[in-house]
This record gives sequence, C-alpha cells and structure tokens, in this order.
Amino acid sequence: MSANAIEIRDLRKSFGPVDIIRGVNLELRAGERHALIGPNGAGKSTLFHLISGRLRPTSGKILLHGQEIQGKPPARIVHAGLSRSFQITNIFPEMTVLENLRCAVLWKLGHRYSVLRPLGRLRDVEAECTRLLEELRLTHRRTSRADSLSYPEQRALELGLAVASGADTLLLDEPMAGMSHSETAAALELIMAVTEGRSLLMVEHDMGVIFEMADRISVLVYGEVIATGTPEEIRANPAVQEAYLGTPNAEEAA
Amino acid sequence: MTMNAIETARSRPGQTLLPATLPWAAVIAVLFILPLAFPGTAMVSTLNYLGTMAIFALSYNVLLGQTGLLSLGHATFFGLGGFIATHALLGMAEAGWAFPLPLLPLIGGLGAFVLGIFGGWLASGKGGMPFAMITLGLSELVYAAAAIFPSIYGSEEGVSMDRMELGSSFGMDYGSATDIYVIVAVWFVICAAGLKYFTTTPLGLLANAVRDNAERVEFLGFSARRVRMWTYAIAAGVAGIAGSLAAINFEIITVIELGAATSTLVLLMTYIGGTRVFFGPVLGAVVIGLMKVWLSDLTPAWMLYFGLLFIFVVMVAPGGLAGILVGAGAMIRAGRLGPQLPLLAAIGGLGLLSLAGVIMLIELGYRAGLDAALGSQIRILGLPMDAHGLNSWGLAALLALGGALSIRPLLSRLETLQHRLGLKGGDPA
Repeated sequence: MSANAIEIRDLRKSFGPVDIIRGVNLELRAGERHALIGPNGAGKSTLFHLISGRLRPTSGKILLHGQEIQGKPPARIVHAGLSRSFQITNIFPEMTVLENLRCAVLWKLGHRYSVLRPLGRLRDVEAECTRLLEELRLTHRRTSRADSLSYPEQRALELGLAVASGADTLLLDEPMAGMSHSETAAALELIMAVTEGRSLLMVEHDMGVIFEMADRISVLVYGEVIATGTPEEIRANPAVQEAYLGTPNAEEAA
Repeated sequence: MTMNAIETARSRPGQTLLPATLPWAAVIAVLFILPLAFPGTAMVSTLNYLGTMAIFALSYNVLLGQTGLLSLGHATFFGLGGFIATHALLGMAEAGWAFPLPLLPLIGGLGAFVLGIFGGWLASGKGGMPFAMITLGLSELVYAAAAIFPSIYGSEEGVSMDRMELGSSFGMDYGSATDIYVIVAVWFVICAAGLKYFTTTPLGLLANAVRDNAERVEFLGFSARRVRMWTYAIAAGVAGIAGSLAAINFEIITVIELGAATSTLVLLMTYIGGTRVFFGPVLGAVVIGLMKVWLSDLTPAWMLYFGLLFIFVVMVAPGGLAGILVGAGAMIRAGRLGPQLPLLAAIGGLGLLSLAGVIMLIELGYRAGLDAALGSQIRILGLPMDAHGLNSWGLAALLALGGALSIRPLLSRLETLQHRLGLKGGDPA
C-alpha cells in the first residue's frame, strides 16, 4: 500500500451533466516515472487538476502516501508532498528568475511568511536557489525578468518551481509542449536529472519521449484508464491500439 | 520604452554597500535642508502635510504596487489612526499621564494595524475586483458609522486637540510647526526604511508573487489570502501612523480624513508618482500635495486638473512620474536620449501649448458657469480673456486642439526612432 506515492480510487468529476472523469483508478508507485497519455479531451489535465487541488472531485478518493487529499486546497497538498507544473507556463512574469525560485523554496525551508530577516541574509535560501539555478541551467539568467526568458528557459523555470518546493511526488503537465525537436531532447534530459529519485506522473504527447523515459504508462480515454503497463505492454495492447495508437499518424495525431 | 528602461534599472544588481545607503543619506540630507530652505510657519506646515501624505502614499503602494491590490478605502486606516491618536492624546492628557507626543503615532499605527488585520481578513479572499469592492464597502461602512457615533468621530467639525497638552519631551514643547516637522521627518525615515526593508523579506517577495500570479503562489504551498491579509494590515498600520501625524499637525481630525475623497487622493498620489519605483509615491504625494495646496488657491477647478493629470499618466506614462524619471535616467546612461531630444522638445512644446489651451477652456468654462457672478473678464496665464467672448474661446480651442493634433504625427515619428534605437520591442539590453 504505502509503496504507492499516489493511489486514485474510482475518481469522478462532472461539470453539470457532463462527466469528464468517469471512475479513474490509477497507482503511481514510489520512485517510478509514469506517463499519462490519451487523445485530446480524454481528461488528462482535468485529472491533474483534481489531484493537485485546483478542482474538487465529484466523488472518489485520492491518496498521497496513504493520506486522503481529495478536495483539499492546493497549498495543503503541497505540504503533503505533491507539487506540479502547468501545461501553460505559469510563472511570476515580472519577477526575476532568482525571485521566482526564492518563492518556491521558502515554504520547505520553513521561512513561510517571515519578515524577520531579509532574503539576502537567508543563507539556506541562497544556497538552495544557487543549486537550482545550476541544475536548471539558468544561472546566467539569475537576474533576468522571467518574462524576458526564451520559451525553453521559461519551461525550465516552470519545471524548477515544481521541483523547488521539495515535494517527493511531481505532476508534470506536458513539460515539453511547444518545443522543437532539439529543445525537447534537452528538456527531457533536464527533467530526468531534476526528478531523480522522485515519483513522477507526467502528461506527454511525444511517443518517442514517452517510450524513452516512462517506467509505466497509463492510457486515459473518455475519462477512464483503459490500460496501465510497461511501454511494451501498452504498445502490444489491442484496446490501446484501437483507441489511440492504432491511428495511421499516431505520432502526429498525438 | 519606460517600462523596459525601469526594468534595466531595477534588475541591475546593486548590492554593494554604497549604492544601498546613498539614497538614504540623500533623503536625510534633503529632510535637513527643507525647513532651512523654506522657513516660515506656513511653509513648514505645508512640508509637514507633504511628509504626512508621503508616508500615506508609501503605505498605499504596499497594496497597489507591491501586492497588486487596488484598495478603494485606504483612507479608512489613515482616518482611524488619526482618531485613535487624537482620543489617546485627549485621554492621556485628562488622566495627566506623561507620554511623549512623538510616540503618539505608534498608538495610532498599532490601532490601525489591528483593525487592518480584521479588514484584511474580510477583504483578502480574492484579489482584483472583489477586493476593490470589499474595501470600498468597508470604508463606506466606517464612514457611515461616523454619523452614528458622534462621541468618537465628533460631529461635522471633527475632534480637535491641543498637541501641547502632553507637555514637553525631547527638548521640544511642540508649539511650533518646526517641532512637528522633526516628528514628521523622523517618522518618514522610519516608515520608508521599514517599508523598504519589508520589500526584501520573504513576505515582501510573496506579495510580489501574489501580484504577478496569485494562483501559482497557492501551488507553492502558500495562501494568497494570508499574504494579502498581512500586507493589508501592514499598509493599514503605516497609514495609521500617517493619519496620527496629520492629526498632530492640524490638531484636528474630521471624518473627511477617512472618506472616499481621501482614499481617491492617495490613489492619485501613488499612481501618478509611480507604483514600481519605491520612492515614486513620495514624488506623487509631493507633486499632488503641492498642487492641492497651491492650485486650490489659484483656481476653483483644481480637482479637474488632478483628474486630467491622472488620465494623462494612465494613458501615456503608466510607470508614473518616477517611471519617466527612471526611464530617462536609463536612456541618458545608455546614451540614447540625445538623438531623441529634438523630437521630445517639439512634443513637449506642443504639449504645453495644448495644455495652455485646455487650461483656458476650463477656466473660461468655470467663469462662464459656476463663477459667473465674478464677471466675465478674467486673466488666464497672464492673458486678459472674456468668458463671453468668441475670441477667447476660439483661441483656447485652437491651442488645445491644434496642439493635440499636431503632436500626433510627431509621436509616431518618436516611436519609429525609439524602435530604431532598440528601445521598443525586444530586449532593451
């Protein structure tokens, strides 16, 4: 039981009469890299919003390390050890890269809403931010405004905000969306490095990326997980082939 | 152009000791020189008023500039701070307590801070429109309550006090405006330094984060509501200090001080001064404060001129007066102002002509309407004019319209030029 970072049981979400998530069951094992795939409109982002607290489920349970988190506000879920990135870049545009990261590490380092000392004097914050900047390869952009970064740099910062909070479970919503081929390769390498040792659930469309990085894959179709397994199992699954991979242009259609 | 330039100036790392302390040394030097340069009770009283409003505007910018919150009722805490300080003084004087007058703002500020926690808790659930509406509602509530509790708020003439009643302390008896100036100046330095310090703390940074992207703050483990509530309380506390100083300066506090007009005034001061530069609101408070003191003597239309200035800043210079200064400074340092000077001078000249026309129109309008009893002859900007004369109106309209219309092509040429200089569109560096 506790070997699972996240356990989702019969999760449902309706918007009025429309059922978007229709009884999802999903397990994210501790330490695994798990990809969530599915056609557009399958409910992948909605599922992420439910897990991370942006939306409240209609029914069902979400357990984080065995503790129920469904319906809790996002901040509580972060405290419980889960943080996320967003499909559409969701950073602090008018603040510098360093300031962005400072905000993200303040809670885990215990400074919270403090006014007792200036940030410049908080050695632990500085050390952690320096380490993160290095890891994200943004050291040279330290004092640049976040909205002046290139797109891949903004995506790296987006990833950095999720990673910096110190959560051991991460949800990454299409971290490579909108990137060119070479940018995707660099981003994948970065993601693999910064999420080392954590449990990772990631929505991704690029099949090449998925089969390269994922330990397991779950396929979400019309609000239901129709299959979960290793990349090989998913590739060989006839239901998945029919619903998703079977289309002639699987790579592009994704 | 201006925002980019501000950005370059802001993001430049200036963490060495000298640049950080230099502005403060300058501030203190200016505070020393001011009463010597402008002696006389009336002038020093004006300085006291400006200092009070500068603190008030700085406190407002904690909300507007730092946290991105548009409060429509900030005067509530300015006024309540003033009333709390006044009643504290009256009470202590009656009880015969020895309490140094310069510390009185501490009482007003603490009182306003505590009330600010309560108000902030009510108003801070959301930012944006709901926040603005709740602050407006709260301030109307307090204003309306004033009529119900005349013993606290006084009736229409307010509550007056004699600041000398607490006796002498620190070698001053507080009879003269200069004594009050010392109090205001010291509190100004304390408040400005404190609020500047606040911007460097974790909570101060989180306030910026809430301004930029409140939702993401929640996903980093924080409650945006708590951040708003504490910044609101801090802003309220400092406004309370300013209100206490105003009460000490004028020796009277009325419900006007906590009404919508005062809330609007501090909004205008802060925005016109500039919300993204720390001392911007101080500049705004001084400019608007002086306009209020002097312009209200010169013309009945002074409120209208505030409105025009506000619209001008909103439309042309969203960074405010400080934004213009910082932008110009950055351009000078980059050596990019020179090529623009002829065009800027032409635009400025035409702008002044147009402004003269607008002033004539307004003054003629007032003389023809509200002040008709004073006769139709009037001197405007040194020119004898006639509120019933076709020539006067014609000249005014010609200047106003002609100036404005001829500026337009110049503005587009300026834009092209700035584009070519690399000041617009793309990275300024």
